Amino acid sequence: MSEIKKEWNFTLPVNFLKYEAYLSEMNKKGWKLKKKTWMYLHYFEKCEAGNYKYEMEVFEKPITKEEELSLISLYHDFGYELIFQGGLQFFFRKKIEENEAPEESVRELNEKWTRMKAVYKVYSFSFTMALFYLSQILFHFLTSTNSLLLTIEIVFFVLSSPFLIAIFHGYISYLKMDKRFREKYK
Amino acid sequence: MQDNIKKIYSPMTESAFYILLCLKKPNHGYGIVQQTKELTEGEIIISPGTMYGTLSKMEKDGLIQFVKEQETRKIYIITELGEKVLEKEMNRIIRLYANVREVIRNERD
Repeated sequence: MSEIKKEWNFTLPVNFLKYEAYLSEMNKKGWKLKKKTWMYLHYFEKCEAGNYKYEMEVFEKPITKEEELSLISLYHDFGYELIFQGGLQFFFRKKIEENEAPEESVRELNEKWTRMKAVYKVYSFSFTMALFYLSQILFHFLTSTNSLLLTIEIVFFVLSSPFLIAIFHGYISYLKMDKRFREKYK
Repeated sequence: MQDNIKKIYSPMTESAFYILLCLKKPNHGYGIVQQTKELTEGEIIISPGTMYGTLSKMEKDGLIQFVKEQETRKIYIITELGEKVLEKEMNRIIRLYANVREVIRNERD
């Protein structure tokens, strides 16, 4: 059985430039992505250290088995192997030869961000919902006279806070990436 | 509907243009990349992500159609609508080129 390492990393896939670089860096150290959970926890499997280029694909809606095979086959043609699929995210990697510089053109990066942006625009909606939820909680804190109800609300708020933080983090990352592309890559 | 599609694809990204151009004959994703690389002398290399995304979108918009599957590769060909969109884009490029030439010629004279 291969060795597994758990690692928390707070870079979100929406920041795909940094995220793919992080996965490549781990592979350089001899750790290949095995799976990831939505709450920042990554599982890496011990592998031969080497230079690999990572590519991530995300979809807005579930794709059919046939589309999935077509995607994997296309990536395979380009020399990539699928290393992990979680929900609507697919992670591929490709061995990079020592002298090969895996540079992507600005055009390619822009096209990738256009695809990613369509998927991660969901953060805008989640952010609006989270703000609405927070305003409701705050209103109840200020107006409620029932101590039992107030306690329940505080417990509920504490329990939901990791999700709220994740939503805010996601939305900020999304805005930062969008700004970066508007200023640097356009 | 067709007019709307024509507007969406004009102006076209370089990747989309070469994908449509290479699908004048039946071809698959990787074949398109190879042909594009040859046509542009290696200047344009389409990534698998862009290829998959563009092929899916073009198929959905009716610009290309699935022909058959060869091993695990999907073969596509341009449709009549795709031809019209490509022609519109080619005319736009020809006009651009003609305008640039005229301006440069006038500057020289």
